[in-house]
Amino acid sequence: MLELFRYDFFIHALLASFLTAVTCGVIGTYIVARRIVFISGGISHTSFGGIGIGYYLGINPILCAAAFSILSALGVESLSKRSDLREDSLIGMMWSLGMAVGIIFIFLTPGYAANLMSYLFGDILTVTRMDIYLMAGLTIIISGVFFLFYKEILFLSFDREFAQTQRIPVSFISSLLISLVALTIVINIRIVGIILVISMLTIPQASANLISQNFKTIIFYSIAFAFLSSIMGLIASYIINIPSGASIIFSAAIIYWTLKGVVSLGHRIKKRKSLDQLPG
Amino acid sequence: MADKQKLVELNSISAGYQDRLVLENINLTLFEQDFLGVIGPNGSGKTTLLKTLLGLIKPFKGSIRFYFDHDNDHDPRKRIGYLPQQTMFDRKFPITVKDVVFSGLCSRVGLFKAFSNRDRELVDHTLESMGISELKHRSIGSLSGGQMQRVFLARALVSSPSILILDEPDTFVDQTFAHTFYETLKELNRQMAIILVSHDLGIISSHVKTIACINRTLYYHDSNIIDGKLLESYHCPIDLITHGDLPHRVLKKHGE
Repeated sequence: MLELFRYDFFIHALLASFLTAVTCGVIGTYIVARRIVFISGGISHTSFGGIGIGYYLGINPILCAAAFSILSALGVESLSKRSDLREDSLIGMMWSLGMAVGIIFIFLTPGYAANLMSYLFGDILTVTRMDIYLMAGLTIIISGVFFLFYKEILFLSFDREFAQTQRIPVSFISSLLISLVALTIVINIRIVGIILVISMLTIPQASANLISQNFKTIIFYSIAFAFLSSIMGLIASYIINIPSGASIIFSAAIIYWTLKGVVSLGHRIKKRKSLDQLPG
Repeated sequence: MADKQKLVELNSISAGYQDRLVLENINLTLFEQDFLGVIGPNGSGKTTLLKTLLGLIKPFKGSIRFYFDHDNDHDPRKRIGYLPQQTMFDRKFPITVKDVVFSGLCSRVGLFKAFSNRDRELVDHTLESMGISELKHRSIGSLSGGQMQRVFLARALVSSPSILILDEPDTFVDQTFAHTFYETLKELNRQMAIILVSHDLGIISSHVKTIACINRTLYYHDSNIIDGKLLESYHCPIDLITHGDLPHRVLKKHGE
């Protein structure tokens, strides 16, 4: 298996795994803590509209998707403040409308139709040098924002109104973060695809949450679990020749189940021990 | 009594949301050592009044003036401690007790800055005075209702505010804790003015010094005795006074 390291595509895949782990680990922790998983699913599917338009106009589809999903993310963010709209219905509409726009434009594009499957389910083995640069750039931005605004992010996620009374620029930071959510999703479409990206933003966090109740620790565990699942998925995809996006997500789920088993076994042993110590 | 220091003055405030007017022409002055109980039916504008005071919403009309002495800071709202209603917050949120209390210091510390050793001491001290030092590293979701309420009170108090605002603090409090909680408030009232919003008229009348009844407009009552006549003359709906156990000395029967 070591001969793999001689191939550029494999080195790129490894680097991409690491960058995916950092971006998804950090942003996913925010998404899960703020309970905006559904919004993020909406943003992810809407980005397909951007990909379709990009193809049709002959612009880089990923860059077009980035612009498209940041706009839709900020749109949902500002509309959700209005009390006369039902947020979940709005997201549901946006979710399917984005997909519809994407499909229409891809079919309108003359000539060879884009490889739809790779956008929907991702393919880590086709990651290019350019993708790596984009991912590295985003990783730096996300790390910078979380480094600078860590306490504000934590406090506004926990209690938005109280954060406002503490003079935290809640709207600005929320908009900044929802834009980063959109960018993270779009950048990771290359790796795990539009449909699967949401699992990368939630499963490692669920695993981390099994062993920690602290926001900061959950971030680091999520990164570790996301990286581990990418590597496991990559190897599995090579050995048994299955699509890498799906095998990465499946690995993440296996890690979750294993950890859940270990944790509940631990609880049971602890309980047994404390029962044994009772007199009589 | 006349030389008591003014803290806040609300002048003909009208406030609400989008095109909905909730509060109309509110006048209210809060003095040092005040313990003001705010009552009113659901949707009467109690929370809107608090939000206006806290600067969370801008009033449509009128003005708010703060009179804090020795205040070099241009943002007087840093001197307000706030205990929000507990129904909204996420019990599964991964945050420790210590961090929740730290969030009460944010406006003092400012953006881009980390908490200092002095801030850490303040947090430790406040946790200790609330008797919850040993819960410091626990996650908020693992606490009982009473413990949780103490944590949120600590968050409101850590910045040593001049005014403490409590929005229905009794919702999550069990009976045994309620007593200690109100004893604590009485103690705190020596150092700061308190505004308490509550549904529980019994609690209001046995702990506060003055009462404001809100129902779109505000009626101020310079004592803590609630009777039917008072509520009637203030247009507070009568069903409000039939809820809960009311001590007889507080509530006279109708027609008396």
